[in-house]
Amino acid sequence: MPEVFSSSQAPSDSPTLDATKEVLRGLRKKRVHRRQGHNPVQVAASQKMPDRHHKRKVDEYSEVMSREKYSSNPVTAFLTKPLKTFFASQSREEEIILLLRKHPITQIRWVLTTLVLAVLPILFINVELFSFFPGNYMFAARVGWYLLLLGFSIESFLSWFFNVYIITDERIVDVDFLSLIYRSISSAKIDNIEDVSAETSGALRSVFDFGTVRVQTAAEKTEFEFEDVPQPNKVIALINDLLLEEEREKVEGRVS
Amino acid sequence: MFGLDLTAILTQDSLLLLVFKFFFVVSALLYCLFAVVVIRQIVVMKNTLMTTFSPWLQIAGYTHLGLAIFVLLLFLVVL
Repeated sequence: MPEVFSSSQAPSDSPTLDATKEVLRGLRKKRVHRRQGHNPVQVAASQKMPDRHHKRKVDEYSEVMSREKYSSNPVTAFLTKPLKTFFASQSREEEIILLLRKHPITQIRWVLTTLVLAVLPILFINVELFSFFPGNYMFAARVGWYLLLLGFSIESFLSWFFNVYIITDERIVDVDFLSLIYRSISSAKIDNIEDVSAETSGALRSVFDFGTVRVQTAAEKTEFEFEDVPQPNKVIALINDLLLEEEREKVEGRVS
Repeated sequence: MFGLDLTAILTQDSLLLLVFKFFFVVSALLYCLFAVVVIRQIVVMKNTLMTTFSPWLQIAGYTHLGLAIFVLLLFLVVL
């Protein structure tokens, strides 16, 4: 007579039987849940999964920027979260976090030169060398001199104002206007940054807290140099915060 | 000076003054061209970096050009 297998009589320590019972128990639970309207997908969603498309504001992840106010004055060297400021190639969702220029103290040379040259005609007014020129020619020479000085001042100011270093929540940008006809814009994504360092050397730099920030990247331009920018340590802290946030975004699968 | 009466030479020699006037006028003309290039430079810079201060810079550029043209006319009239 063949043996008939009965599960109730089978020994309880049979692994195959226990596994089968577990599977059957699980299946029964699923059927019950579905009948009662428990959708596992809805349950998971209600447990507050991180939004894959949520982009955090810089104040949420950067302690440095959370202490800084929005900058409304465009004529400074260290603009945090500047208002109504945009640059070419800025994408719609991209936000400028920091806009840097050279520290104003580095412009003292052309300012002093302008002042000295402005005073020069007054000093040479009584020099006999020019006394043989008719009065109208002397007047024309002085007018021409001050016009040249005005042009020199405007060019120097434009060079300072528009040579900027921009840090956004996605990349760093270096805008260079080296002359009247030469413009260079370089950028690198934050997650291509490999190394950041700051150099503050000399008494003037120490007193006025400005220095050079060097950023090594894996982009086409391998090194970005932010020359003579104010508060270089704060700049480095911000870049480190941005790097950490990029890593978090990758881990959490958030779209950047 | 140097044993020469330069004042007499310059006032009597109108040709030399004409040369100086030509020099001044050509310099002023070249400067006007430079002022035009500065305006173009401001426009390019403004389109690269847009700030609330940019309109003032454009005004400064046009004022600079206006002054350059005024100086050119001044040289033509006064000299």
